[in-house]
Amino acid sequence: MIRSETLVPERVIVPDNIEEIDPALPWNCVVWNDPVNLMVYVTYVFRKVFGYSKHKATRLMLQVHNEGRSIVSSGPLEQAELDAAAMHRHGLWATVEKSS
Amino acid sequence: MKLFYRQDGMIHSRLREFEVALLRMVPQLIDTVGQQGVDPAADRLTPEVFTDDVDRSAEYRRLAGDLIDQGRRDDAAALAELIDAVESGDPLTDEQAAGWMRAINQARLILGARLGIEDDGWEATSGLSPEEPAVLMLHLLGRIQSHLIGALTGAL
Repeated sequence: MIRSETLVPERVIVPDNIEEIDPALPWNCVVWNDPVNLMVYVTYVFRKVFGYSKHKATRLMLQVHNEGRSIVSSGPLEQAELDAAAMHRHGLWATVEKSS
Repeated sequence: MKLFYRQDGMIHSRLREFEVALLRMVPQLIDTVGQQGVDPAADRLTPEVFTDDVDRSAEYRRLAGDLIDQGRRDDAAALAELIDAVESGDPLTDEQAAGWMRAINQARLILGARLGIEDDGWEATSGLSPEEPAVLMLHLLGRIQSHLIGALTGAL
């Protein structure tokens, strides 16, 4: 992702327990890092599509940026596919995978 | 100075002539997206959703692909339709502004895919000249997009 000049938070506290995967939810929607999408855009999309707080959306965006990918939602297959479609609609690179 | 700002529940703009000209190119660029497997931009905009299951990916593409493509065309058409009014000073609703934001993003992804940009830090490592027109356009659209996101975020 590209760091935008104006809107990137200067300091973000990232908790250690970063994974929040419920084993009862078998499919994950995963967003992957890409070198073109702006960090502020990815954060905005997570907030808008999933209704996540600014804090959670920023944490997930940073996980995508730093680790290359992040599980952004979990649920039944159909829900994960809908979430991936919403990500694609916004130009984010998303896949669906079985939770392991 | 912010290119977009929120006032009375609408998104107002302070776009200059060259920024308006750049935005007019967004729908034109989106219109050039070709076939998957031929145009890297098409592959980037509709990626494989199941990386280890070709059949499932094809099924997903059959169900969702057209909707995603149609959404992209709708955003592009809406931007093309509104740009004259915005140039004359009309504000955008949040929904319209979000459509512009997506369209600008698609244009940036198309440029990035065709430039072969694949890694973070490409500005320093890809060998692309910062003066290459497509690279300039990518950055200038990114600036417009980030200002638009700033105005939209005010309503979240």
